[in-house]
Order: sequence, then structure tokens, then C-alpha cells
Amino acid sequence: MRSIHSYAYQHITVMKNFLLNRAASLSLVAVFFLVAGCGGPPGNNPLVDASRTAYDAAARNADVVSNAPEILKTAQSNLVHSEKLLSDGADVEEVEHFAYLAKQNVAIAHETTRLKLAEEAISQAQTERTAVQLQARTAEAERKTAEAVTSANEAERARDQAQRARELTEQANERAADLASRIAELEAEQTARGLVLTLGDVLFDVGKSDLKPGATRAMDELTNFLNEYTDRNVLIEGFTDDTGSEQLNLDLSSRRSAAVKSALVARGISTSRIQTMGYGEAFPKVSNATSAGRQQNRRVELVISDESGKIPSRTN
Amino acid sequence: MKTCHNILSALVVLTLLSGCSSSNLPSPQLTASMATADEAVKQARAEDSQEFAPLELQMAEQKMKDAHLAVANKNPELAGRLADQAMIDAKLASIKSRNAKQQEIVRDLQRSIQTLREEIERAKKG
Repeated sequence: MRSIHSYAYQHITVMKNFLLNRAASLSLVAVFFLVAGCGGPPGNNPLVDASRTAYDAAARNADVVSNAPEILKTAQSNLVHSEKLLSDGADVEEVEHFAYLAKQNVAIAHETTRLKLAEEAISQAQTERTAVQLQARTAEAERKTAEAVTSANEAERARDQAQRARELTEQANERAADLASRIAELEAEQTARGLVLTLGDVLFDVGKSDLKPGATRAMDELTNFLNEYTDRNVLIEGFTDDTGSEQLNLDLSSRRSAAVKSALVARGISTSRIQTMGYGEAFPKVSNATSAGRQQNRRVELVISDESGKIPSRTN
Repeated sequence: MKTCHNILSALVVLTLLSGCSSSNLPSPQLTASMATADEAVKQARAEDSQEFAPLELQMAEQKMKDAHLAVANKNPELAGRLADQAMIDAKLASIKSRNAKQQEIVRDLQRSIQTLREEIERAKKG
């Protein structure tokens, strides 16, 4: 198109020269008619103005200048050309044609700029996405690791608890075994009221309530036992045979059980854990008819409570 | 002599005018411009301008149609202008369409980044 235009332009120039040279009136009229018909009167053209405005704005836009310099240049040459045509009084269609090309090239320059910025944004976003994907994988891995650690910790805790339970059981078993062996050592017997240790008559002098040295070992063992099993209390019950007055026998049995209590207290056992009773000739173990029977009935029984510390009352 | 001269001048002017506005065959330049513009319009269609730049595409196609009509009507000047305008309209349509698609890609990427970020947050909380 530009070539066709310049052809027309050359024709006009040739004609002008021709006119000047020959100054022919007819030619003048014809050429004047031709020029007037081809180009409008010089002055303003709204499309040229609009294109100039659009071009100037784009030329001030740093993004457009840096991203679409060539198209901007083309737009500028279109615009300059249309302005020249306008000032030369060229055909309005010619003027507006180049103004239109200028305007569209400015639009293309803007679109080119946006396209390049979008391409940059895409490349940035792709980089960012890669980074974020990595972060996501890392976070997921960390989460899984944390889960694994948590479950490992839980497993460890469960193992520890099981181990602790086993230890407690073992301890309990050991204590039970220990208790059993201590009971055996005490030569105590398990009865419905609890563990009963019987101190025989031989540990006391006849008619006296003082404990003979022979009772020391039994007292020490009982003390150890009570120190070890602090939840267990002891009830000391004194008994006699049926010789002598009943009151005397009650007193004697009371004093004998009090003597045992004193021995235990002297070894550090709290008085609150010790009860004493004197039953006199009541509750004989065997018949008092024989000397051997009476000896068996003269005794002090130590009833050891269960873990609750309570001892049921004597019923027989 | 004077009359003769005037007649001669008029003849010259007429000859020039006829040369200016009509010839029996379109010039090689016009043929080339028409082909280039046709190609640009085809390209714009191929880049989905019907969807993304329908106005520009329609203008380009209309101008191309008119340009071919102008060639047939032995108006090469008009045909050349129309072809040039059709080409620039088609180019604008193409780049607008490319742009729209790129912007869509940008949005998709940003959405996927956002989704990933949310996943990370959930993973951190979970």
C-alpha cells in the first residue's frame, strides 16, 4: 500500500513540476481540481489526533518502550507519515489510512508488551511452583517423619509401660515370695484372721511377764517384717492355762502381751500399729487336762493384719 | 500553439490520471500485499481469534473481502489500503488471542501454586 501511495505521490509531484514549468491555465485548473479532490483541506483530523495521543502515551510507557520498540517505531513512522500527508493536504482516506495503521500498531505494541510480561510471569510462576512443590514434598516428608517418630515414641512408651508392668509384677511376686519366706522365718501360720505367730511359754519365766532373751530373734524378725510391710499392723494376744485365778491369768496375759509390745516399740515400731489384748485362760488351744496341753495354752499370739491393716475380732 | 499546448497538457494529465487509478492487472506489489494479508487473517483464525478477538478478526475478514472486491473493480489503491488494514487487524487479533491464552496459563499456574501452599499448611498442621 505504501508503495502504491508513493506512486500516486510521485504523479502529483510530476504534475506540479509540469504546471510550474508550463503555467498552463487548463492544466492548472485540472491539477487544482485533482489535488483538491485527492486531499482534503489541511488542518485537523480526529483520527490522526487520536493516533497521536495513543502513540504518545505508548511512547511514554517504559514497559512498551522496552518490550515492543520495533512496533512502536513502525507506529511512529505511520503516524508521522499520516501527519505529513495531512499537512500536505493529501486525500483524507490516505491520511486516515496511515493514522489507522499507526493506531493499530500502537495497540499491537501494547499487546506485545502484555504478552512479554505474561511470558515473564509464567516463567516466574513455573520457578515458584517448582519451589513450592519441593516445599510441599518436604512438608509431607516431615509430616510422615513426625508421624513415624510419634508412633515410634508411642511404641516405646507402650514397651516401657509393659516393661514397668512386668517389673511391678515381678516386684509384687518377689514381695509375695519374700513375704512367704518371712512368714516361714517367723514360723507363723496363715489363719482366717491373718498371719499368726505364736510365741511359746518357754520365752517367759513362770508367772513373769518379762521376755526371755530367747525371744529376741523372733522379735527382730517381726520388727524387720513390720518395717518392710508398713501397711500391716499387729495384734498381740496373751493367753494362759487354767491354773491360778482367772483375774491373775487375765493380768498375766495382759502384761505378757504388753511386754511383747514394749519389745517391738523398743525396736522402733509405732505404738499406733500395735494393739494388745489379755485373754487369760479363755480361748485355750488344746485341753488344759494335761501338762503338755497346758503348756500349749500358755502363749502369746501375734496376729499380723492384711494390707488393709485391720484384724477381725477373735471369735473362738 | 497555445490551444495545442493546452490540449497536450490535458492529454498528459489524463494519461497520468488513468495510470494512477486503473490498470488491467493488479501490480505485483498489490498481489503480494493481498497474499500477505490473506495469510495473516488465516493465521489469526488459527490462533482462535474468533474466541479471543472476534471484533478484530471480523474487521480483518470484512476488509479482506472488500479488498478482493476492490481488485475486481479495478481499484488497486483501495484494495491495497484495505489489504494493509486487514493485515494489521489480523495481526492485532492474533496477538490478542495469544495474550489471552498466556494470561490463562498464568492464572492456572497461580492457582496451582495456591493449592500447593494450602497443602503445605495442612501438612504442617496435620
